[in-house]
Amino acid sequence: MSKLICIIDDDPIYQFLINKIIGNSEGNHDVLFFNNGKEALDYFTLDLNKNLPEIILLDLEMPIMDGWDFLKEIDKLQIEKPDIYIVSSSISHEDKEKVKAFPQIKGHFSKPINSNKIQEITKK
Amino acid sequence: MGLRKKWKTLSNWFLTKPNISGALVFLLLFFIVCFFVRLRYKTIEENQRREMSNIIHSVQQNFEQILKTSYVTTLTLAMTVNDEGEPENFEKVAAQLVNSNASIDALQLVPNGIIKYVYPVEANGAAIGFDILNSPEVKDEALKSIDSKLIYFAGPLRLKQGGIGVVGRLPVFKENKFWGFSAVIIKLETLMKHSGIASMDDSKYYFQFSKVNPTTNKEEFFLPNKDDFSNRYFQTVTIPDGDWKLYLVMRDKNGLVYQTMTSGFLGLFLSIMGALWVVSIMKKPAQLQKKVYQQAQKIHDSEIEFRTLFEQAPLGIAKVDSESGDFITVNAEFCKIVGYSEEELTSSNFQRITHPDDVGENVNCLNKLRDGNIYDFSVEKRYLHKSGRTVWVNLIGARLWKSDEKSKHHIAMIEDITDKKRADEELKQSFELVSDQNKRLLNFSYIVSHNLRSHTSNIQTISDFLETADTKEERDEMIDLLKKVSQSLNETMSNLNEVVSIRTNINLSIEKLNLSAYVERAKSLLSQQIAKQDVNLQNLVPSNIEINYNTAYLESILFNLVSNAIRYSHKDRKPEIVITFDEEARALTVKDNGIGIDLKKNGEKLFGMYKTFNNNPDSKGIGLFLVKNQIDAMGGTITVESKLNEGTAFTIYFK
Repeated sequence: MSKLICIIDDDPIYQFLINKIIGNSEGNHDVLFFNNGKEALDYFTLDLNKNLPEIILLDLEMPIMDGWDFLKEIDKLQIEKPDIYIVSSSISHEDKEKVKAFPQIKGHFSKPINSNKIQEITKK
Repeated sequence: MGLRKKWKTLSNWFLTKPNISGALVFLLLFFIVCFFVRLRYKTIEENQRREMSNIIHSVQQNFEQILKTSYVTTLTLAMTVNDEGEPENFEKVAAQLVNSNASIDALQLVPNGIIKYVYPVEANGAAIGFDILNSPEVKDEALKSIDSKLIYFAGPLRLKQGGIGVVGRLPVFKENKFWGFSAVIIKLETLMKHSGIASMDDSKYYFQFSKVNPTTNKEEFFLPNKDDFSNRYFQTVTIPDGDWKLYLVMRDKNGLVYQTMTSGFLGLFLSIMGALWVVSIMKKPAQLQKKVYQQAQKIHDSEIEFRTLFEQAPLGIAKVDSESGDFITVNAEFCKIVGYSEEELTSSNFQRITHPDDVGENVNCLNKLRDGNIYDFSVEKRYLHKSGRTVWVNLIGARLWKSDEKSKHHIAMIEDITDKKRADEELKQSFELVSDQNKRLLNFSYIVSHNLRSHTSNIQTISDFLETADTKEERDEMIDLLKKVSQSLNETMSNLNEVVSIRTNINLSIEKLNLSAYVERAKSLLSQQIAKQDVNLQNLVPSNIEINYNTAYLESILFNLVSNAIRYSHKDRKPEIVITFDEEARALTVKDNGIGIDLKKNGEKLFGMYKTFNNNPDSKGIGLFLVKNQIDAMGGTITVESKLNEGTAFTIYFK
């Protein structure tokens, strides 16, 4: 039950912590880190045949390319779409409305995220 | 000239008073009618008199003829008396005389006053033996003829032989001695018949025949119709041989009046008709005249009303030539609004005093009005007041010609809405300010919650790990992380504090600052970086430029802009930063040849908090946010121009 999970977030502490949480949770998951949407997108477009993540945990507020722009861009790519979860420190009502426009978003969470939630996501 | 004027006044007076004129016409006509009626009356009267005179005279002649015949007869009869006083052949002569004179009924010879011989005897025998001179009723008349020695007619009287008649007695003298009478008897009917009275048409007139009774001295009438006719018109003749009076009396008392009355009434009727006709004819012009007067009054009244409205209206009103735009008349309020005098305006046109940007629209509206596409229009436009300031007005234009007429003039009504416009503008500005502040406040609260939450969530996770940590290494690792979080939280808090202080600082101390000196100061603060990256920084701000600004803000703004320019320099070329000042616009520009910003993508977010657009570890997304807030607080603006890979220029406009 090993899955490739992609983390897109500009907070290094969060990256460190989520990596630890995933490591502690059941299943031997692989994790990919990107500091912003652009980095992730560049990685995906570089080689479409490589292993693509099955799950993306996406932050919204990021420099260079934020979560929303990333969502728009990935929609254009001809790849098998991963399940995307929004993980943000706060989700405003406005954001919740915006989320509805992106059907590939499977859920949204407020930080902090714990191993229970990771298991919930990966078991699906 | 005076006469004509008088005539005109007079005719005008009559023209406007048809009733009086009608009455006058009536009087005039009636007077004429009366005159003619009177004339006719006189003529008829004259004719009647003449007619009556003719009749009465013909009857008189007949009478005289009868009497003459009677005289001759009595004379002839008297001839029969011979010298002895005895009549010879009385019977024969009398018969001859009676038969040849139809007007004589009988003959008598009366010797010594006693009737002795009579013819015809059958009818008159009863009178024989009557002693006339001794009969008191007839004695006086008989004596009268003896006295006068002429024939005298007695009666009419009741005859002894029956009936009423007259007796003509001729006294006969023999050798100067009264012998007796030779007499004729004429019955009244015979007299009437032969005089022509009986055969007369008596529808208009009738005869009366009278004699003053010698004994009673009273006038006695002998014909029927004995009514008193003294109040009627009559003519009379006297027949002296019998002391008779013959009257011709007009039967109809008021006949003449009736005859003329009809024409009188007709005349009256005609006069009334004439007067009414005149009135009706004259009333028309009089009514027209009256109407004209009323209309003129109305026009006068509405002219006054219009004048008053025009002069007193709180609106500026102008009559304008629709072709040229020339002012024809303007009211006081119009002059007041645009600040020009009436003379200045009426020798000018609206284009001259209209704000150049608004002339076009105004002329367009006017063209439409002239073409008949619209009847009126309403625009908001600006005039240039004589003093040079701009006056906002709400203008309503309406044409003053009818659809089938040529375009000529229109009326323009203006209301000064400058104050309203200003209030609107202020309201709009304050609304923009408030909504801008509201937006910033929302943004700020979002930033606060987001940034603080990202730290607290990390702390929560770390504390979870700390709880479950088995080894000391693990725990140390977490504590180390916790320190990092705490450090960045501290940084965030101080940033927020700085932002809050900008926003809450209302009474900032403002000083006159030398701009060039502060640029130099920023340059010296960043000298290390400048030297390290070999930056060519040119301060081209003239040394005499001074601005009113808060010291800390100016320092912060210049420091941030210059440090950004250094930080985002292009790695392929030598960084060049040029700082200039535009004195006219009072704007400072910091231009670099760095990596540039994709304004299309990031323009909106450029001045947002924690917005960074590259992976530079020094980018914290706070610098430009603070700069923007500080400039806003000082009442200025900041703009940016940039091209990716070419460079960026920030321009600050000082208030």
